[in-house]
Amino acid sequence: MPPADLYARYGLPADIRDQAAFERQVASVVAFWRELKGRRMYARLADMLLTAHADLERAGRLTPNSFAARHAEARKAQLERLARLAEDEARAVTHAGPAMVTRLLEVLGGAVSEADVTEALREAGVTIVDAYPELPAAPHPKQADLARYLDQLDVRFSAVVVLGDAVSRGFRILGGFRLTDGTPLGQAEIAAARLRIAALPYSDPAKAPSENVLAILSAAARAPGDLDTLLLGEIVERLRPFVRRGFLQRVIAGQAHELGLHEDEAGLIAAAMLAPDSLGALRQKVEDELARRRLRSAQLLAVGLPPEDPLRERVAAADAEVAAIIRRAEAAQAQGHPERAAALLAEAIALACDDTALSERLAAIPPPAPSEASARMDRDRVRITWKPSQATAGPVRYLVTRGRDQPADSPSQGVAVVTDTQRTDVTDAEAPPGAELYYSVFAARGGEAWSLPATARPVTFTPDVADASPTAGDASTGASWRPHPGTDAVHVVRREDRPPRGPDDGTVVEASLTGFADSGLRNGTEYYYLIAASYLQAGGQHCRSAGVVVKAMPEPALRPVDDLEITGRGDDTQVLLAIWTPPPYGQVLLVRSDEPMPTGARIPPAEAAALPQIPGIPRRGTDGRDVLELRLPPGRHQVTAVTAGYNAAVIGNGTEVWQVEQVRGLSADRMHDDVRLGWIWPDHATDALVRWPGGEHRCSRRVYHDEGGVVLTVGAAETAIEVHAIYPRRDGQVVSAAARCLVPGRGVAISYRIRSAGWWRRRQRAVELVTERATRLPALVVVRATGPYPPDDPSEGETIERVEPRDMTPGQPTRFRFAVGRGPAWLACFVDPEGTEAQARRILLFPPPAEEMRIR
Amino acid sequence: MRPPNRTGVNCPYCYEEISGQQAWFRCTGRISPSGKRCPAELDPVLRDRAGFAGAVPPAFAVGHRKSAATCPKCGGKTGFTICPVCRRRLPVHFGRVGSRLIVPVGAKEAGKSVFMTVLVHELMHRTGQQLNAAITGADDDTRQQFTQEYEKPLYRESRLLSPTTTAGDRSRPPLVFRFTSERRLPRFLDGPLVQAGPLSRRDPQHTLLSFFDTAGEDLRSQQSTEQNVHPLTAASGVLLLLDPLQMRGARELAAPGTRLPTPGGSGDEPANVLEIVTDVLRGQDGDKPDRRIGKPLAIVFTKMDTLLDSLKATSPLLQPPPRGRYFDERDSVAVHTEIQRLLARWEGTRIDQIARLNYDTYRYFGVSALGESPTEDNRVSARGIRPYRVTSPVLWLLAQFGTIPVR
Repeated sequence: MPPADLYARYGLPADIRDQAAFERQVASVVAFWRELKGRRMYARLADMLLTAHADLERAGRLTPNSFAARHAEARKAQLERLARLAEDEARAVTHAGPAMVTRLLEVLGGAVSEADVTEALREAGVTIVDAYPELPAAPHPKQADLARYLDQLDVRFSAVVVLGDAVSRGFRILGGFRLTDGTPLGQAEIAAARLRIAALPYSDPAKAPSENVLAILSAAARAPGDLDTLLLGEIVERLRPFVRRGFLQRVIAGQAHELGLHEDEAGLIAAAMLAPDSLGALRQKVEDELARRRLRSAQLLAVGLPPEDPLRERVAAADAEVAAIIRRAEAAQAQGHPERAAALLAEAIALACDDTALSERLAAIPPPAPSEASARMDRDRVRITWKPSQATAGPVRYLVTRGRDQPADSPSQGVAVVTDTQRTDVTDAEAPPGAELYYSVFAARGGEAWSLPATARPVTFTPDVADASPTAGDASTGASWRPHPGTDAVHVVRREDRPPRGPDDGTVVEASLTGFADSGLRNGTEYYYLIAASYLQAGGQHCRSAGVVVKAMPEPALRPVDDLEITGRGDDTQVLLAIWTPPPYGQVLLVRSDEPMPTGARIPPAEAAALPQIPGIPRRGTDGRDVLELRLPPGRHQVTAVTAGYNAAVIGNGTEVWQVEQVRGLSADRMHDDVRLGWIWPDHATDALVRWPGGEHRCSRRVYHDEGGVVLTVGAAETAIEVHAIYPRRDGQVVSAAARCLVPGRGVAISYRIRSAGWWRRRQRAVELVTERATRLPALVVVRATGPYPPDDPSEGETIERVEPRDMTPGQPTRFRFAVGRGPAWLACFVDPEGTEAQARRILLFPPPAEEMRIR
Repeated sequence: MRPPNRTGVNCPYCYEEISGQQAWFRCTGRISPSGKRCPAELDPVLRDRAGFAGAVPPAFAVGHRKSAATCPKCGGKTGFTICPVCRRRLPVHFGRVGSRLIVPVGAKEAGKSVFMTVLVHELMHRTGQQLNAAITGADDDTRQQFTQEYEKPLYRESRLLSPTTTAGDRSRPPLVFRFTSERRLPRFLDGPLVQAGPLSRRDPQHTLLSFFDTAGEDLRSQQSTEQNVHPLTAASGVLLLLDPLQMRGARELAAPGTRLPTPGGSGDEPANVLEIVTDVLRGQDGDKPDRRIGKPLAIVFTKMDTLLDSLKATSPLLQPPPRGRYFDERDSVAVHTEIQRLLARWEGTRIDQIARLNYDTYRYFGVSALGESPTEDNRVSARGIRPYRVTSPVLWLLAQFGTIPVR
């Protein structure tokens, strides 16, 4: 339908007066309506709007003034209608929320505002509130008791019992109870009332219920806010029957007002009880409680639901089911089937877990007794175990008692070892030694209804001594231990060949309560000792423990090695020699560690055995010292001598050993007087030391790699070169064993020059030979070749001159002259291949530059 | 023996001649004094030529060469000179210091990348000390690339470099180094009295060296060489690396246990490689067919460590390499003559004939970059890298350029 308000219909502001602006807007809107006709969804509405527009146009009402007059008339009519509706509403309600304002606005269209509606309702006597007070969703737990006592007193509100008739003259409850004159209701007022009630004679029928009411109120007053909740709950519960029966809010508010509640709060509480949101929240709470199997709580909440609510029926059905199960349980118990009854009660508890009475009833049924109880000694304690009770329901707990010389028939007899456990074993740490002990186990379902006991066979508690520790000395032994506090005496017997089988099997050794010392023994012999504790029984007899066996071997005091030395073997292998003076007693082990070990410290044999031992059997040197060859991996090691005996080991002196890798793959290539060296660096070496006769060169790893190895000038002779890897250390450096190589010597260098023999001897040449050191020049040939390059071998040309062997001296060149023939050619000198001089092989004949060798 | 002076200047990255072109600059991208800042943007020329697709400040041309220019967009001053062709940033002082493009070429498996890496490393260390010279990367890319892609795998991780990709891959820029030595005094002044006096403090002399690491596959034929090894034509000097173990006669002389290279096709034979390179260089000088090539050519025989055992004890190759602060011409000629003789033994005289008939300036060298054969799993020998005469060819080229003294 088109909006009745013309301003709204044409999108005009209500205060428009300008005719031109009015017409522009109307034309624009009408054009839009015409556009809308083309759209199927809006075509009908557009037709209606255009028809109404045509009517207005025909009537000449399309002017601002006409619109204003028509708008004023329409508003007046709507306000009159609103007033009538508000009066009608006010007959039913005293208070209303925003929902009522919205409802009226929707009915009256856009002609009235929210303020118009609120004002109309206020004038009609209805108070509009933004929100309702929060009311208790369920009755207070003590509500039912309180109501019963108030009924006995014929009083409708508990505050009356405390404050008397002043309550009926008016009070407020929202935000805390107080009378109209401001008097609160608290412990002081309750105490005053108690005094007043206490003065009543016991014959007065109001005395007891009044005291009960005051007790309930006093208990609630102790929890902050609880008393106000209780009192508000009383009001709400008084009004709830009216709500359920469909009374109007104004009627319900009147009922509250009759109790003395202030008129405004009575209206508010009545309105809140009828608000739809309250009922939904209550329903949800009931659902939640049912889901959590809290039937009793759900029942209390369901009281607030309307009678026809299906949820009430579900709650009632669950209650009926629980009741039926309980009846079956009672029947089973009556027929002598307690476990059947317990199972049914457990089933009922599963449906109503908040019903404490049901749990108590279950706990009152004793479960079947546990079985197969046993007790045995466990070192200085007694350990009791049993099989669980075959109870079909309930959390079964156990109680264990200890009886001395007789078993317990009931939980109250004997000494309780444990009073409440769900386990099936327990340890008795306070068992008295020497006595015959009876352990009984009882079961219950959480209450005091205990089963018959399961009783273990009696056990006599005779614990052995604890922590027995043997010692040994030179031809003597000893031991110490910790006795049980109830020990009367300790008996010790000794054997050499095997452990004693009993207190009478061996030589008796005198012992105190905490140890013994045995002397006059043979060193190196193993001795076994049986140590048994003795306990005094009630009848004066003694009983002994089974006994513990320790063994000890007398041996003289171990002496640590104090002169361990580690040296190289004197060759370039990685093998080291460890040398020490053997101590008079014990075996010396060499152990390897990262850090030094404390010299002189004694350690147990097991600890010594776990040390990383260097394998090998030492040999005895002629000087009486032991020697062991060590092959250690590269790296730093701490080698320590440990003297190991039977009873202990003692740490001797140690020494730090650096086992470092040599360089590998050493290569040397002679280049005349130079040698190019190369090698493989071992990990972690940072430098190398190169030595040769007459020289030494240190080279860093960085320089080696960046500058392409090492070049030495060693001269002509055969040269032995050794290379050591160097490793840095905190306190200096470690030098590895040498890698060696032998560089062969080279021959004697003789160089020659070819010169012109003078301008007047153009076809002759002169050869000048120079030696680096005195030598015998072998026979030489001069070869003339016509190939493209100077000849490299006598066979590449024609021999044109032969020079006989002769001695040469440095600084005195040897010269000879010869004819070269005609035509361009190359000249070169060679050692005569047919010569017989042995020295020929040791000569290096260096030619001149190629240009000198050329004949043009 | 000196090569003819080149009048042109070539970009050390794209090797195009740029001396006749306008000077180009790139804005710094910083806020200028007028408060403007040029936004970084894609430079399509830089992307297409150098393969850099990131955003960079704009480039602009100025009329004539100068050391700095003002950005026309933001008004900020910039000293970032760039190549007008490839738009890469040129090294500092480019155009004002000598710039030499050295191109190592060689057949597949000749060991060019390893040779170049060891060569630069030696110049940075032992040879640098020997010559009192320093070699440094001339740009960030070179420093980063040389360290990470060449030096680290070979020297730190001891593994041989992967085969070089072909030059068609535009993302492989040349490595540009700055070789700094002391300016030489006239010989008559270079005596002990002067060395202690005020003239002892000599000015530095810079030379830019651009190494283009070619792939062996680029030299399979003249066509592929011309297409892919454009730097050859712009090179100031060529290092031709040949593997003697590709020659039948040398293979038989190799030390026992030597890892011999895979015999290649005819395109990988040393003489054929020299012919192909010669044809490319001749094509550039094609207008003078009756003249020899003026560009100095160092013919470098690699892996010589495997053949040293076959040499006579008096061979120059078995004498200690020179250790002076100059290039030892006598030693170099002796080695040259020795290799001439060895070539005749290894293969015949074909290589020498090609070189002698086509080049004004050429020299033979025998080197070993690693000093020892690598392992079967392509790792450097556990003894490390011990180069042998590896810097001699470049020192010869530097001596040809007049950068280092010769005696």
